[in-house]
Amino acid sequence: MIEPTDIQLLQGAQRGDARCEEALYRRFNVPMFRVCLRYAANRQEAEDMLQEGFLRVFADLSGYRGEGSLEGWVRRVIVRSALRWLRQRRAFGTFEDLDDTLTVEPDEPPALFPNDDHRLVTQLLQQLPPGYRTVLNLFALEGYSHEEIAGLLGINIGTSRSQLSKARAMLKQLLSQRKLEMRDER
Amino acid sequence: MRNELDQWLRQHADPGTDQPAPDGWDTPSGTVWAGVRAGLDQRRKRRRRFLFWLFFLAGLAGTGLWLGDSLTPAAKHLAPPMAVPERPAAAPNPKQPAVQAEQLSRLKATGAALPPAGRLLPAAADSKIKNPSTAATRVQNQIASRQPDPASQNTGPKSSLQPLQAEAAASADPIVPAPLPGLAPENTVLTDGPRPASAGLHAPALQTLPGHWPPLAGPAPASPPLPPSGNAPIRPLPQPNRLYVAATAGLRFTTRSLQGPGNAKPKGRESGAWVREVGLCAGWQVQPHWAIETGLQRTAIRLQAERVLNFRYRTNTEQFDNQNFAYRNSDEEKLETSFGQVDLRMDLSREPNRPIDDQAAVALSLRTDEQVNYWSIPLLLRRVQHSGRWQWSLSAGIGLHLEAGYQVQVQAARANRPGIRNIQVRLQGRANGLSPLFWDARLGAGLQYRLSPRASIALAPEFRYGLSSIYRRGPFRSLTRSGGITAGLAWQF
Repeated sequence: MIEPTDIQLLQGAQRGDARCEEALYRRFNVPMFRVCLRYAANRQEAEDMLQEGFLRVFADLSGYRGEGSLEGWVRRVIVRSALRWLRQRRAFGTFEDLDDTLTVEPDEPPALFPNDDHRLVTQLLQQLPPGYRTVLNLFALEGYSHEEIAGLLGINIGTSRSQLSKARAMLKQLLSQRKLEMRDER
Repeated sequence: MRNELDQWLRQHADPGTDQPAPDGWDTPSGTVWAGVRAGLDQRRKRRRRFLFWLFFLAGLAGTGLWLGDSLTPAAKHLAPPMAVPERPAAAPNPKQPAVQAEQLSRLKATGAALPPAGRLLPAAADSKIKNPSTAATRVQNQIASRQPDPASQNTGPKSSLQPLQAEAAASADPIVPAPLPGLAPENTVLTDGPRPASAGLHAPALQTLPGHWPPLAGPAPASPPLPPSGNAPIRPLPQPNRLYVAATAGLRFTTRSLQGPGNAKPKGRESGAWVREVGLCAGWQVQPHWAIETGLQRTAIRLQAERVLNFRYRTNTEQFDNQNFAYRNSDEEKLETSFGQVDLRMDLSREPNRPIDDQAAVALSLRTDEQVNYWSIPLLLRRVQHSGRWQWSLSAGIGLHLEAGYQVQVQAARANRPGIRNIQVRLQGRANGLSPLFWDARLGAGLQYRLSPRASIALAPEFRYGLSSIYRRGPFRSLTRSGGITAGLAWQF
């Protein structure tokens, strides 16, 4: 069975074909969920971001003009939707809410598989405060400049630079701790 | 500037494949697509609703314009009397020859001597003269008081009538009535040539007959009916119509007040919401300014509330392993809603990387959105005032609401983390506190514009206050208060 191309799926989704919409979602949900996991503090937030992001993707399908890959365009929409999601919940510059569960313990990272660095990166990013995490994601992984980050987040360029610097320092610290733990486990 | 750490992140952040991890940590749960699907469906539903209302309003406006345009000519004759535009001076008066012929025929019938030359004047020369018979008398008296003085004829006209007298005196022919429009004058040979021009206000077609103009004694005989003219017949304004019907649609916002000594009021915050209302109404005008109305309306009461619930649950390891979520029953298996208790079940999912505990509790925020549909039968007394095409009214009365359906939707979220997912709420049954019927009092106004003698559009705001509780039982009474506005198309029989 020949799988439909991205353009065919795009055209079908623009017509409102439910099967094409689902196929488009199935094609990109895993890589986009990885992106959302890096912007979110946990899996639930990432799923919320992914849901709102795909709603935005389907609403803005006519905005894709065939310039570049469809996956790259979907990724940009998902990232912007994740930033909007964080802004709406005032995630920038606020402390994490304490869990209100009585006995549930905080998340524990699962054991890492060999060559599973991407999971390690995701877990480390999730441990950063939202402001650090967002700026580091946008600068290091998405390739935005400080001017663009300032425009996206509505902050000063200086704030973006300082957040990035602090994020790098914290990430180094977390990474060194994690390597020590992994060495001890071995 | 990107440093080594940034490059390490970029190299290791993406596994380089779209294949999900074997344990599924980077695979979203199925609820994400379910949420996307629901959002897409909801968006399409909103679009369809928007298009429906757009076409409905466009159709309503088009129908109104069409009715207004197509029925305006007839409506002009039924409109209240307006200032008559001045007739152009050159336009012929089609009734004038008939008046003159009437004068001649009346003189002949009475056997009176015909007036001398120059004595017969066009009866309708004075445009203010409405009654031809009295006009003839008045003209005769006027002329009798002004005996022609040959010596004074050269001094110029004494009145506006004298030019016509002089003109008539210049002719020695007997009086021949001016030709009627469409009729050849007496002793006229019809030819194929052009028809003679109809007599105008100063038409020289009048000819005088020798003789004396006697005063008319007594009332003039009944004048024959006027010949048909080119204008449409003037019909009187119709009597106020008795029966009228209307189709209405509008929006209504309903909230409620709780009365009573009991403290068992629903927890949390509550607010009303807008609902649509459609209906048919029929009215009977019992007096020129009073009408009784009734009808059938499809309306609803919608209440939205947010409540916090302490949700306790116990994990089930076996089910968690199989279905990736843990099913739990709340200790509070009843949810207190705005309209009573509803059986409640909730499923709270868990993160795969979170250890499973035996007992946990979490504060959940429950948002309930309830709507009770009703069939409503109003009984109103309406006071109506007319002003041209406009009509305004005040109405008062009561309404009976019969319950015709119940819908409830609940969304659950973590109280301190609204973004948390996978809390599924299931409700069974319906709220048990609903009353099958209740009454309310109504006070409203109306503004109506007549598009045609029978069709009109109306705009009617109305306020309703509940007279009986929407609860069947309970320690307190729940009385509704609602305000809304409806638009409609009315038809009079």
